[in-house]
Amino acid sequence: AEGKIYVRLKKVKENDWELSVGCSLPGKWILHWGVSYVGDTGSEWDQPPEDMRPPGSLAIKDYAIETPLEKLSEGDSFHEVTINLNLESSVAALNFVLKDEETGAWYQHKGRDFKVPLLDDVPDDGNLIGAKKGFELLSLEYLGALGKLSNIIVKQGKSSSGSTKERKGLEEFYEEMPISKHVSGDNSVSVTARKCPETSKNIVSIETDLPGDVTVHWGVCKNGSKKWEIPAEPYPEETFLFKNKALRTRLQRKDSGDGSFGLFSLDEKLEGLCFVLKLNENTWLNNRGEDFYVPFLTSTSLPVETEAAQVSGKTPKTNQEVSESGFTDEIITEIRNLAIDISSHKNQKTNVKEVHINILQEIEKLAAEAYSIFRSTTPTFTPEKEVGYDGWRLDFVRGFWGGYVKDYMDASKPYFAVGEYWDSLSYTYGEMDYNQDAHRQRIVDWINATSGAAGAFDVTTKGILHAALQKCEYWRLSDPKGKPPGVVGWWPSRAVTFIENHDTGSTQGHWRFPGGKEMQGYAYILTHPGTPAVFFDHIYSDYRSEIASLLSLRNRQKLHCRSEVNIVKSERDVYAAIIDEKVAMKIGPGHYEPPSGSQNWSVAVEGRDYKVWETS
Amino acid sequence: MEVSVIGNPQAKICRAELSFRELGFRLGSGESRNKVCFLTHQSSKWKEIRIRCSPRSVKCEAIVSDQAPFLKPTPNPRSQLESVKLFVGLPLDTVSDCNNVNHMKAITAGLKALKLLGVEGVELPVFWGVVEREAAGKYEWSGYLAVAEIVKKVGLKLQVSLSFHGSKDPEIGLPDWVAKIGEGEPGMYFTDRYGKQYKDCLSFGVDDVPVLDGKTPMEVYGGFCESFKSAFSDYMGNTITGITLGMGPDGELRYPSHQHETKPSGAGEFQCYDKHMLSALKHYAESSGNPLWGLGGPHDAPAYDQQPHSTSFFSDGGSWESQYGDFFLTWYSSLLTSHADRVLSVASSAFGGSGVSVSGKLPLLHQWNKLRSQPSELTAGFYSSNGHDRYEAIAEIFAKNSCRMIIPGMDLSDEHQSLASLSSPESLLGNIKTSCKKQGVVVSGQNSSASVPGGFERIVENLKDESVGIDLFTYQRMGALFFSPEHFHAFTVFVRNMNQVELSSYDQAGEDEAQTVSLGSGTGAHSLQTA
Repeated sequence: AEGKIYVRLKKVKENDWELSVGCSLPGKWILHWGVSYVGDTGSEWDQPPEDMRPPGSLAIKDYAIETPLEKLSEGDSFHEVTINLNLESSVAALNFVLKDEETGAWYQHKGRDFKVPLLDDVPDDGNLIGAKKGFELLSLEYLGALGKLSNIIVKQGKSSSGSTKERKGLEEFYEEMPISKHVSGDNSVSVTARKCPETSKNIVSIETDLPGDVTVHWGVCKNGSKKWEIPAEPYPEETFLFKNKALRTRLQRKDSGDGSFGLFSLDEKLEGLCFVLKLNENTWLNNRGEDFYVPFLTSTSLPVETEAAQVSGKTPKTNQEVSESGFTDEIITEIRNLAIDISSHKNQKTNVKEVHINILQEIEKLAAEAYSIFRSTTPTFTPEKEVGYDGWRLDFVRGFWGGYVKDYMDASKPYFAVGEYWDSLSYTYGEMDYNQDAHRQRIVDWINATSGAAGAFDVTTKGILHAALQKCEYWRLSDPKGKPPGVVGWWPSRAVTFIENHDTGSTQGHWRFPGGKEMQGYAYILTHPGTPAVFFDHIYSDYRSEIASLLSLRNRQKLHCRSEVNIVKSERDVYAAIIDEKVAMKIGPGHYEPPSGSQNWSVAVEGRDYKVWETS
Repeated sequence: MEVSVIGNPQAKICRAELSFRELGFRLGSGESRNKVCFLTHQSSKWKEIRIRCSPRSVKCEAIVSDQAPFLKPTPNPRSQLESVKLFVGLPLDTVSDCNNVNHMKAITAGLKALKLLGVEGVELPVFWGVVEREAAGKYEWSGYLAVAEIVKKVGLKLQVSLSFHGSKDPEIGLPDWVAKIGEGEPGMYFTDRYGKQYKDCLSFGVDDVPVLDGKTPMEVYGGFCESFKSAFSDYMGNTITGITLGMGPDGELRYPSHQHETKPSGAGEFQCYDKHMLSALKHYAESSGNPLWGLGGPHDAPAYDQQPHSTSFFSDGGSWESQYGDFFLTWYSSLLTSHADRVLSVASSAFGGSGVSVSGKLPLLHQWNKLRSQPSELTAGFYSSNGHDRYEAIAEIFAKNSCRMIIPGMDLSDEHQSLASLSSPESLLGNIKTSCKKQGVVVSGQNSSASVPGGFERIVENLKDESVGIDLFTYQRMGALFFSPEHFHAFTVFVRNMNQVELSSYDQAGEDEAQTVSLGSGTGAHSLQTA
């Protein structure tokens, strides 16, 4: 069935506009949508304000709304939904995709969300509607989650009605794009494998009632490996070698006209047949992301039938999350497949990098999972408290998406929340790199994903302090721009600086701060921007009074998380900085004295390899 | 039957990129912009994907091959380093004393990570006190079998350590029934001169004494080994590639001469004061014509927390070098050597021909080894008259039983030892390796259990040493510290260094890429237009 989708923006009165989305195809259409607010960057969605949500809307987590499309009138083929827009709100753009609940199909725009800008400076990622560009492609994304059907159509359409948009005002527009929905009946593929009693050959028959040409893209397996290999000839009719990697055999049409079949006679020593089905250039059938695999019998000659596939055009409601995990499962398989492939094509180094990166990411994820469990089952004897804050501490947040943290924060609204995103800094040949921007970027990204709802432990700063203090490399404490090299240099208001916590130090000792140099660490974090956290163990240690002096200096001079740091020295053996022009500090064995100019500096706190001054 | 089609356009494109090589798929376009999609879908779980089939049908499993190489070495000629098989120890409390698998989820995730890293396998400590806990001859292998099954599924190999000792942390004792016998038979534990017993291991003095319900400990260990062999018969020689026999305290061949964690610790104390050892000593003294020497151990040896030189026994020209000293130390060390022989004979008779290697572990008693007397070795039972090689007799026993020797402490370097401990782990390691080489004993390596600075570099140095040719290294031990980000990162780098995965191949990758992409996008774009 072919039809169209339209998007219409219409002015009702001065600041009241309405956006309608409609669809001419029958189905149970749902508009899955969210908004972007002024100042948002990136492509995350947000919940729209309450008054924008049409009746019958359902909130999906914290980022989307689902609103069903209704028939305008009985007998009308169009389903439509209208959203009222109040331009006085700070909504910058509206994002949506369409979903057909009956089939579970999702309709996107050029592989992305539809995006209707309500302001002129919405970043154009090529998916704006109502902007100058016309439509080129509407693709249908199929989430065949529970594995029922499968069907994909990439339909191309062209709209000439692209309207222009002025910078200052919003313009009404109306756009249409064609869509088509392929509805097929229940189809099946059945695969039978048996041993031929006379020749001991493996006979595989593949039979299907799928309409049209069906090509089997196949290979055989031997030696316990699932690697595709090309068997020796003879091959069935209409078989072509595909790039030396697989064979393609077009199934023969049945005489009855409905469907096709093929017979494969394979050597007895082979262990199995791998295949996928190709329906057309863009449509493949596989086994939930894996190849179909038909194992051959080895010891018995009984025929065994495998009901290999049931292809149904009617997919029940699918669940997006399930489907996504299905997809990610496939990735690892892809990685494996690729790894196998690379090993067999040693000359072909293409994409080795990509594979390595993906494997390493997977390893890191698994290790993070293992760490979070082992850590929670390892008894901790020391209670921990970050001084001066009432809030949440989210242990080891790496591994779950910042968005969930935001859900959690929104629900519980703590006064202060902090997550510990701890992964390794970068090293080259065992030496810590000077530039740790990638490391702090990951923490910043995590904070970002929580929409700034949570702060994060500044693991970068701790790591750099380790190297600087341990090896007398104080030059590390200034980044190329003369800013602090940790998260605190980029996003001080969200950086929770610390030198030790119950995992890194104390009885666990997973990453202990250089022994005896803790006070240099405190001289740094308690004078610098960010929100410093003092480790419980240290308060009840010999450092108590020195830490207390630094804390009272911080309070007295009203240093805060956004204080200005001016780094005046970062050399091999000394680092010095002036904060908010009223506190000067140095750490390291080297010499530093604050400038004797207009300001009158007096020593506030002093200890082994550190010194802090304040203006009086 | 469940089928799905590659329908997610984002997924599709990525898959096209990847599958291209495997299957020769041509799907979608090769627009590089879309690659981002792949990288953003990072979360991933492992799952076995099964296909439901009709009852008559074959069970189709979409299995991914175990043989998939991950981060495998570049195909250079194999160096010494690359031929080393790397294992990682599982937590000591992997199986609880109720035969449950602890931290199953974490271990499973950990095993997968190790597999992807290219690690050969894991070491599983199997405790006597867990398996034969309740009654003699009543073995309960279920917990350990479950672990073996996971290890097998992940496609890793397994080295099993049969541990006839107890552990303090986590707390795992000897079997309950053994402890109960011990209450009435205190002489079966090692005892120091103050009469204090060491209850985590049976004394070498009772090896052949039927103290355990009429059986000798060696017979009990033998029964344990046989039961293990039959319970794990499906795994022997395939998943399980090696067995290590516990030889003493913490599994190591030594007397429990150090029982206190003091720093710097003393030289340790002699442990010859249990009933059986004292009577053996008496007998030996009488037979050698010095009955007065058989009344007890040395009276002038320092206490646990005393410096070795604080009394005269270990000093230069001290009792240890006297005729008495030679008499006592010869006897004391001969018990250790004969214990080694008994245990390894039990092992080789149980596991000979079952396709697994058998090993025993030595300690690396490096503290105070810059002293001439090397007192830590003496109290632990390593001695040889006239300054001869203290490890040669032991190595000979290993050779005789065709067993491999595990030497720990391969991560220790001299420069990180405190000066006060007068310690040189590197030279001691060198000594033992030389003894093994002489006797033709194959050496496996381990690190010390605590993480030490520069440890990984030192391990690599040790493994590179071609003169001994260590071909198996077990890194101790999986747990929270192991997976803590900084440590795990360092471990990852270590593994990659071992495998010599060339970082430079990343750069080469870029060159060929352009070609492939143009291929993909050319045909891909065409197919899109015609669709």
